[in-house]
Amino acid sequence: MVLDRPPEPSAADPRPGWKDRLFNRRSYAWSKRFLDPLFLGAIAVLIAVPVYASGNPWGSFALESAFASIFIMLALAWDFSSGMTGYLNFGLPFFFGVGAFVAGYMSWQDEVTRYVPFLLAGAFAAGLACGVLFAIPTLRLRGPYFTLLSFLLPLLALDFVQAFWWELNMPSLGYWAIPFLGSTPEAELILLSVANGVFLAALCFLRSSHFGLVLRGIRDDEDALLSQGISTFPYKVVAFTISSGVMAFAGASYAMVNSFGGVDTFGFFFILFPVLIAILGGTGELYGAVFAGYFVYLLYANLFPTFAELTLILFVSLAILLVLFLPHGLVQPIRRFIKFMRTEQPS
Amino acid sequence: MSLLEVSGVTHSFGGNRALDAVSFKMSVDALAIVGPNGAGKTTLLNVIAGSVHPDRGLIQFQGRDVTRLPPWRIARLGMVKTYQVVRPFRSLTVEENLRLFAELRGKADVDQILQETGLTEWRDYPSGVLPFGLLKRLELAKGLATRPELLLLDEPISGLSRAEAQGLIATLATLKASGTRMVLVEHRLSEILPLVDRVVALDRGRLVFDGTRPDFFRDPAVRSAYLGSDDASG
Amino acid sequence: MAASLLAPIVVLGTLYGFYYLLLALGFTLLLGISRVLNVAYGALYMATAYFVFYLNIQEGVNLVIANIIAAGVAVAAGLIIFLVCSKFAPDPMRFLIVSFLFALLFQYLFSYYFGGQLGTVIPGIISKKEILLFDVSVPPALLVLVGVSLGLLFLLWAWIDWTDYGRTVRATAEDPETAGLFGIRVRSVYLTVVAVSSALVAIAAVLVVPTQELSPSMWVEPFVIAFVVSVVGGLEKFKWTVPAAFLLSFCQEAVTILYPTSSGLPDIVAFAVAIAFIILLPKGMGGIRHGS
Repeated sequence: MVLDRPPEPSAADPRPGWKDRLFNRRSYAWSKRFLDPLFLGAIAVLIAVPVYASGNPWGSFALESAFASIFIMLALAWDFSSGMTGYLNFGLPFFFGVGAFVAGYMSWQDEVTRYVPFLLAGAFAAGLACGVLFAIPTLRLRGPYFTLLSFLLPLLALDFVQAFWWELNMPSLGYWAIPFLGSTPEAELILLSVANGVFLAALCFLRSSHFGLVLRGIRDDEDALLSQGISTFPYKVVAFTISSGVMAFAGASYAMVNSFGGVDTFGFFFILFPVLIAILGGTGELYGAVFAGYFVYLLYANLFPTFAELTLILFVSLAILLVLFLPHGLVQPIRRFIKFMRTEQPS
Repeated sequence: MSLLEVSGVTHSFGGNRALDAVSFKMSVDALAIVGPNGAGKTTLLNVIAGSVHPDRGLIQFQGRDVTRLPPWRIARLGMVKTYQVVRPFRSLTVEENLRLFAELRGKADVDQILQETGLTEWRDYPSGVLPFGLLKRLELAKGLATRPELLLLDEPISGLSRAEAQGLIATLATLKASGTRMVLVEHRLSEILPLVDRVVALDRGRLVFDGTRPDFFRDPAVRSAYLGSDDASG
Repeated sequence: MAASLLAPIVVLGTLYGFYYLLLALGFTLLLGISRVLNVAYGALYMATAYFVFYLNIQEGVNLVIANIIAAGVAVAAGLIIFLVCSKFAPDPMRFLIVSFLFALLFQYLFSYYFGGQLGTVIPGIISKKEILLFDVSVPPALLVLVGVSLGLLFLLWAWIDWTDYGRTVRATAEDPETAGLFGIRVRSVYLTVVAVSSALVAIAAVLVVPTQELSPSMWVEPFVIAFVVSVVGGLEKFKWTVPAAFLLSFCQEAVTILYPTSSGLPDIVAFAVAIAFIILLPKGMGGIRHGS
């Protein structure tokens, strides 16, 4: 291919107006971020599910959808940090559990701190703090070593609670009688859907900003970023901190939907489903988690009454097959199809 | 004050001395580092860029000692290296690859850089689908996006056809004319030498020539290094 | 009083050090040669235990034969997991995720089939009648394990350092691509290493599991021990596994003896040691000479 000298810029080229900037797909403003059909589809699903779940003629499945929403939140948080950077964080149940325990602890103090927004805010703040404390020393490690170290965190938390719950004046290996998130499962689903919408919008905004470009660049080639002037460490710490805060928020929500937050929140179940959802949705794609989350969890919720533990075996097997044969999930093929339909082929 | 000063740089990999007391100064717009295979050219460039810290010696950039600084700090000071084996961020588009670095040192004009490097029509494509020749241009564009004081180009035309190489060299000439200063490591002497103002030659880790282009081919040490080597591209 | 605490710490710390060494040897061997982090390593330990239970207790197979078959099953499982992961998920991160999922799969499978047997202790091929060593009661299996560990450590070292095949293994570890170009069958080297690694963890299970209760989550502890010892020794640095194993076991035994009522404390110590090393000495003990 012969490459000519690049053309001189034309003095007659007009500056793009507001319409061009809004609808020009080369613009890095709102069009790129929020006119993405998959993003809009995800928002539509977040609106539609609470409406349909409550008004379903076969009976409300709002509670199951509420749990699905919590797993979607976890998947979003995990995907934002781990999916985008490639630093796989298996400590997800640790932050989830921190949120649950902080919500429980606060709710047992006095009437003021039983106020739901306080519990959620406290859990989010605790998640941020734990995220920073974890991220700073460990994000020096690369790849599998970071992942394995993060794997120790929930085990550490589990052993800590089991060893010291009495000294910490906890009622048991968890807190019960935590205030409900909403007055009904339908109300809880609406609250969680709104929260997911806010998180999704915020994370998608960050994803398409320079911050998000750096995170994706870390996944592709961190050494190249470092050699060309970008210190990746602060970006990683910020991403993991935000992610930890959202995970803790999800943990508090879970505790409030159940009215109980205990050591089960440190279990592997809370790695399996979010990671499965994130992978099925397409790692790094964020909004794919919304579609995948409702599909995966509602399927599980419908199968479990019949098949009990076999359901878990089925889902783990599915996760294995997914990682082996469809590691980019389902959203990427859909996106490629959309892009193919919209793009002119190069000369 | 020289833009770049290399003093007594020595480095070994295990028992192999890759660089042996290499010293030179750069005050020109374009400098070429040449030499036969195994001369230590890429090692020298890596030492200058900070990805390898030398066993001994000093690297000064704009009068500041950068010998032990990490690569990202050196890049922020204005000295940026591009890779011989291209390393685009494959999941990002061409434009996104540039936007990663466009605000590193002031605000770079991404549109202009895309135009200068002939990548405008490819800006929205994932960089992973680009043919090799365009990836080489993208590598150059990424370096330009950092608004460098000095570009370190590691074999920028290696792997390109003669026509592609001519196109890229024309781009480099335009950039040089507009004020971009560069150090190039290259094997393909006949194509790259017309672009540069000064030549530094290495042979088995030692500096054997530091002078102007006309003197390069006449120097006995250079002739000995090349004619006594197996370098087929010289 | 201090002397009465010191004896169990020293005795049990030493004995468990050999157990940790045996666990970590296989893990570090696999990591050092094939460069993969296999989370399912602990699941092979659990698989051995449950198969002994199934064959001996449920099917009435002779105990020694049951142990041999169970170890064989663990080796086969290790090979299958490695083959599947290396063929379809060869990059380190996907390998790690898939191996973790296999470990979870084993957990849920054993929970489903044997869930009601929680708390069972399987019989051991060595008598469980504790003996006194320096006034400390120790299970005889641990004493046997010392001999087995030392023997296996010597054999492994001799195999890697003195034999032609060991040279092949070291070359493959150094540069698999070049090794392949020179005619070394890299895949079969990896499979051999996986088999040896799986056998080591199975032998550890045969000797130690009779002193523990069966549980579907019992794969976690051996994996964590192996990983922590590897981190402390310096990942992939084979010879530093030895002092690292003893450092960890002495720390844990000291905590167990000094705080006997806190059951989770020894594990917390293990994590704290790992995290401290990662923060202060990221290259582990083996990296001290080269600086951290």
